[in-house]
Amino acid sequence: MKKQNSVQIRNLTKVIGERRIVDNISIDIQKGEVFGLLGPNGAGKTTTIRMIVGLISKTNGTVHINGVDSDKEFQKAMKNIGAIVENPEMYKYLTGYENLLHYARMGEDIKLERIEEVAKLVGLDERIHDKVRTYSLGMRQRLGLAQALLRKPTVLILDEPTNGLDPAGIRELRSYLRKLAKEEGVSVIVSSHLLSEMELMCDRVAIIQKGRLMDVRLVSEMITAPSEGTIFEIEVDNVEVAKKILNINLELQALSYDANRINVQTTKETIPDIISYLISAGVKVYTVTPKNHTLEDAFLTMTEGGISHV
Amino acid sequence: MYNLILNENMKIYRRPRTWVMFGSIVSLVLIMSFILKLYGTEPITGWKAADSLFSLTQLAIIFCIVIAGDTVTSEFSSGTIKMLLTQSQTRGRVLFSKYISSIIFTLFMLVTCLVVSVLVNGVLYGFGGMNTPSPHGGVFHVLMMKYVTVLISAVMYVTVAFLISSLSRSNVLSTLLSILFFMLGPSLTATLKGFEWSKYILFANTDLMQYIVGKPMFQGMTLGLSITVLIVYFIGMNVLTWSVFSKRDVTA
Repeated sequence: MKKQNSVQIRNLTKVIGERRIVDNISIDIQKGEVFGLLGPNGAGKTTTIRMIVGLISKTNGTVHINGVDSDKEFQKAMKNIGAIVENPEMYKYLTGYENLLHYARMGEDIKLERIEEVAKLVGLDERIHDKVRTYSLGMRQRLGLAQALLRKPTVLILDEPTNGLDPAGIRELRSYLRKLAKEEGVSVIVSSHLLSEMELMCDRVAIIQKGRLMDVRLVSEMITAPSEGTIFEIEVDNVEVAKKILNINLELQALSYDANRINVQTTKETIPDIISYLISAGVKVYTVTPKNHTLEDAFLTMTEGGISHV
Repeated sequence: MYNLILNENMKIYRRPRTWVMFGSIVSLVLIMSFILKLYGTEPITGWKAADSLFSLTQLAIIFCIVIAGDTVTSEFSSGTIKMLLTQSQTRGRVLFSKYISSIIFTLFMLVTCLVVSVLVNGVLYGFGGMNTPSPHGGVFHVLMMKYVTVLISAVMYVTVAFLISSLSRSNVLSTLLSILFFMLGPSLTATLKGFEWSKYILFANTDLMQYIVGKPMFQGMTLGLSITVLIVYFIGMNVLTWSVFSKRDVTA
């Protein structure tokens, strides 16, 4: 099934001096998906986002928002975007309400009720008439989100959105973003250098390194263990004996081991056999832990590959 | 556009320091008027006393330069520029609303100066003697001419401050530079006497009072020339500010 693209990025490039900060990136982001830009600090994520929202000029390439070219019709394209670039900086000498009023006035047809609505939505309604100076970082983050939602955007762009949020806040944001995407068809673009965050939040992830797009993958595909088997870590009292037993009875080689742990690559179905062989040989088995192929593994494999190819 | 100007005004007048500026103008007028009343030796009218406080407009212009320069640079230094420019408004419209708001502030500042000094001294001496002759006309008439011409030069300096703040990345530096231009520009320009092109320098033309008192800075300068020079600078600086601001990469 082919879904409609909300954001179409083609050949996006930013060159400053001799350096290619962003190098020929093309991405399509679909309606209703949470899309992650993942990469180490300095990989070009923020520069990419700044080009999408028009804060910095493009050396080359185009960005279409719902089919509107953002270079040709900036106002029309931006009407559909709500964004926070890096930290949500607000006017500290104004109240939360005045800040939202300020941004509501900048949109053409935002009613005053919408301000109350978004304030409630992000859980700031009780403190909305306090000066932003008195807000915690988490509250400022939520005020930033309220600002981004004022226009009921169809594309929401958040740069490092979990910065400064506590674990509960992160969980809340995550479920809220997923809800926006699934129920209201909003396309959400988030950037992060935190792999674990992206794993939990995104449908698809683009891996960016040194300004280049290394790969775009479905998160669900990346986390699933490869068919060859998962790596299991087995904690035992006698590693030497255990190694021999597994080798003789199941032809399993230890991938690595230390004083009381062995790593073997096998399938889930073999685990009962492993345990029963070990126990009947008098080896005490304390724990058996599957070591998932996470986004992190995939990420590391990919970026290491990327470096060695250069 | 009205909404954007409303926003900029909210950001100017919701800050305490703006009211400190108004407060210092008002209190300086009060203090100087009372000193003049208590220790002055010459007989004086309310209008003449108000006229003698005219130099306070120089302080008012410095305040205008600070506010105008800051309206652009503070958005960069606080990072709010990223929010401001990612709404559905073009940079040109954002910049224009800031410029208009700075001009409105300038107007407020000078009107405050005029109204407070006239009122305070009117109360102290009465409002009579409006048409007392002075070397260049009735005292009321001359006071009005002075304020009109100072408003024109204030607008020019605000435009300079706007240009510098859109070119620079530093809050303090750009404000300082604008104030330096204001304070030293005319006197440094005066030292260039004898160069044919010196009369085309902005600072030789900002003060139109020179034609009312009949002492142009350089030989061969006329009111018509000065007005033309001011208009050319006004348009040139605004176009330059706009083109820099609308292309500038926001990395704040």
